[in-house]
Amino acid sequence: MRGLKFAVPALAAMLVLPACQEEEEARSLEPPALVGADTERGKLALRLHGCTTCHVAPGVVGGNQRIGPTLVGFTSRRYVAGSLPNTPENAIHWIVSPQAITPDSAMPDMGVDYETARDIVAYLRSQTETEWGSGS
Amino acid sequence: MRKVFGAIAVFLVLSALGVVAFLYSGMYPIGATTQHSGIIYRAVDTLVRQAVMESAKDISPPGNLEDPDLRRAGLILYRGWCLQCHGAPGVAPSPFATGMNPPPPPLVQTAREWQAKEVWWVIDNGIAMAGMPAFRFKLTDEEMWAITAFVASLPELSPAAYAAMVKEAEANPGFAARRGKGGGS
Ligand code: HEC
Ligand code: HEC
Repeated sequence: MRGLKFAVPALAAMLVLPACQEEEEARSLEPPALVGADTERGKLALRLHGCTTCHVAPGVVGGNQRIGPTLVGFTSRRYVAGSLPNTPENAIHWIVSPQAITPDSAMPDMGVDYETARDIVAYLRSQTETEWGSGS
Repeated sequence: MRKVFGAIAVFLVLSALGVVAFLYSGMYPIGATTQHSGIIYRAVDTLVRQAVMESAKDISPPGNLEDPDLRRAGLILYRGWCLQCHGAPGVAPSPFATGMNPPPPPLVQTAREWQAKEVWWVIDNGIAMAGMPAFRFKLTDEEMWAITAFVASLPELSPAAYAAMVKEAEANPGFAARRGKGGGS
């Protein structure tokens, strides 16, 4: 009985501490392009700019839109739209002007300004869910 | 027995009062910015899909929807009456449309998943409480079939092929010409 009293908190600490550490690390690794971005605004913009009519997006209620690739697990994708290395700058650039990068892409220029695109990318990168479950 | 009916009556009255209180409370998040919950979303989606399938079941297309002339005429009409809301391959909808809730979806996925007669029925009748207008009295049946024929061809149209088709159709608009540019103009 005695032992259990200590075991439970110790076990909890073991589970929680590494998670905190990881989060701390993630925050200190925040790319300069995204410092100060507003993830909540980015999440709302995913709907109000029509992104979710083509994409399934993490944390956004919707159907099974398959016109564009799912944005769940976007962080771990290596290339943006199959051509640009997946850096925050490139992702922002793509969202602002996909047609300048891939003329005739099925993703039209949606009239998103730089700041909003930055918020969207910050939101997508803050989501650790992947297509296969949670984790990153 | 009396007691049971009494209890049921009290329950019904209380429920009705609860509904009225909710309506007047002003608590419902009515802004288009609010996201529906997953349950409501799926319920509405099922409701619309089932109702459209049931309503359209006895309709049949009057002719060959693969006729290129019909599709070209449909394209012209589509650009006048639908493009602002639904966009087209490589073409974004007007900025106002993406702020709607539900937002008008690109129709390429619909064209793959729905039958043509269902698309026709939705053009004719619209979808209540969703922002999809009924085009009855605005377009003739024939014009709605032309648009349906064009929508059915969307899965085969790349953005580049769409742009080429626009050029070609503008030079040769067929019967859509007398309609001009549709609602917006
Ligand atoms: C009309 C459909 C459509 C709309 C609307 C749309 N997209 Fe896309 N999107 C696509 C398609 C198709 C691709 C794949 C393009 C490619 O690979 O060339 C894509 C690719 C992407 C990618 C790259 C994904 C990856 O894994 O490579 C991102 C990020 C993205 N879109 C974000 C957005 C955002 C943000 C919005 C809203 C402002 C948006 N999209 C609106 C169709 C759309
Ligand atoms: C004012 C904007 C508006 C215009 C103009 C408009 N629509 Fe719609 N349409 C909508 C909205 C919003 C929905 C989504 C309804 C829903 O989600 O239940 C919709 C849904 C649809 C659907 C069902 C799509 C699906 O997969 O659920 C079809 C088909 C459709 N529209 C065809 C058309 C055609 C064809 C035209 C032109 C004749 C047109 N619409 C013009 C707003 C519009």
